[in-house]
Amino acid sequence: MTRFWLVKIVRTLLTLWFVLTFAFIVLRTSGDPVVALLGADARPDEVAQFRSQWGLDRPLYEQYARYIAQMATGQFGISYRDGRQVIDIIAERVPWTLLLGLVAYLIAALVGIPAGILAALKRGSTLDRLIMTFAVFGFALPNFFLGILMILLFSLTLQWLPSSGTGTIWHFLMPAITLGTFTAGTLARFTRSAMLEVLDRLYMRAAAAKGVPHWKRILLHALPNAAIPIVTIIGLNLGQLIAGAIVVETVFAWPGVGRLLVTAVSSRDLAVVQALVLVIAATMVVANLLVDLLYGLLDPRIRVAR
Amino acid sequence: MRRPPLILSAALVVLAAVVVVAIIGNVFTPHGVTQQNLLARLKPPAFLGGDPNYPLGTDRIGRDMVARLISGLRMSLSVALAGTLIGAVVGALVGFIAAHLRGWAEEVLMMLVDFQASLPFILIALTLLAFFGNSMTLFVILMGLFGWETYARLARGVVLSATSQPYSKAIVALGAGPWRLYTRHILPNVASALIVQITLTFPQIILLETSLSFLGLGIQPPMTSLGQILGDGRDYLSTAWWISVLPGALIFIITLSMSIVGDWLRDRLDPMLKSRTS
Repeated sequence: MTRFWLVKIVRTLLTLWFVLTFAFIVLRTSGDPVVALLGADARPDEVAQFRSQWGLDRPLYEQYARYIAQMATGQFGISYRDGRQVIDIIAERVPWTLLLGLVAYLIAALVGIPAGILAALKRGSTLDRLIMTFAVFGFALPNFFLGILMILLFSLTLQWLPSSGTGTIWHFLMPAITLGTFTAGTLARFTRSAMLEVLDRLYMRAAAAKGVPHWKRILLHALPNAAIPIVTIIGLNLGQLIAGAIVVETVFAWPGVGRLLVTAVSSRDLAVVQALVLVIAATMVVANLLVDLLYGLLDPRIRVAR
Repeated sequence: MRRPPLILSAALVVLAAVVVVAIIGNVFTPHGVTQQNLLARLKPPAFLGGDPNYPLGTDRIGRDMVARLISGLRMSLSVALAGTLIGAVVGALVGFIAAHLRGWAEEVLMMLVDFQASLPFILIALTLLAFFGNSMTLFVILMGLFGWETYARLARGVVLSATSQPYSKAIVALGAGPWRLYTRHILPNVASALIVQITLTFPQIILLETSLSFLGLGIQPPMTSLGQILGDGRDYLSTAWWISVLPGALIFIITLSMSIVGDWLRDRLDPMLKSRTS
């Protein structure tokens, strides 16, 4: 039991260390880090101060250790575009992305899971085929294209919804739907196959024989047993969601982390890029850990078996 | 899940048409890709009452949309094809090596696989583009880096199970070296699984390339890709929606057809893989 948690946590730390090392290698192989972080037109005294402050005059292994220590404590340096602390710039963007992501997840779960259950219950029917067709559409449709189609329809033609920015609750609608569509499609598919797997198990027949009503059998007997693959997909999809946010936030001019990353990459504001990569990676790795821990809670067999 | 074969044939026909257009389409267009006509800017497609000289309209500097779309299509397809092949070869090789060497080398390679799988690839791609600057070479390498870890995992798994089979033990006992064992006996066994994975990865690479190009961080002008045309048209949505919608629809049709073919292949060729992934 303790071993299970311990192994998971050690692996998480290992992955984080990998990400940090990756960033360090990229930083050091792509050119002079001082130029990279301060910009080419930094003053000589700034450069000298920066070199000693970041320990760039020390041997490489020492720099590496220092780098890890600094990144781990959130000292990401200064953005060369507006001279502010990178950590502050990121901090004001994070809530927007979190909010958008949560709403998108919510929409995806509220649409995808019931659709998947319905498709599994009506297996082989027209409804099933219709739902699955939409699911395939959902993840073949590029999110930037979906976003543009929605803007075209709801903002420019019908003029119902604002096309970009924030402010009202209506601003959430199009970005969140665009972001959630892919996840909804994936969820519907996986929920369907997870439900199909449990629907004809013996305990389902036993419950029917006991006289448990239909909806209770589905919600209380089948769904909890199908929950493991569904939770896995929700966890795995976090990466998709973040990747999606990078594009969707740009389409809808949403002031989140994804759009910050795109502007930082195109203006080569490297301190910001590096910090964002580390922050996003840390978030994902921790989220994966949480999903793993959630497994243990959902299914006692898993924590005993490993 | 069984899909009616009608959809499958439609998808195959669409894909074949797309490939043919990408290869020879530009022979039939009267206008060059970069040929501008400032008197015919933002013309709507001919079926919406535009100029019959420009069947799908023109963009903001009067370039023919047909020529642009064909050239963008060709770029998107070739980049995705190159990326898919690099990824499949590198990934399968890493998987083979890991399975052959076992021990710590396998551990290290599989840790790399886990590392890549733990991050959304677009993040890695954006980091490398930011630090090293955009170039065509780097971009194609990035497309190749996408998805290698899935092939590696797949190849390793299949090789490990194949080498424990009596037939490969017999081949080794007969005196075959590792090269012969892998190329002649194990590769054919892995091939169907790899092909399925290729058809599933290809549309994802198309989406990655078009997303990056859409963001202005992928294919750079004067070269063009479907995503880049779409991104270009964003500023003209209210006046010239076709600049964005046409390439978008093309991307959607390609990825959709490819996914349909890939799903069908997976269900058909590889029942083992199906039970493992779904």
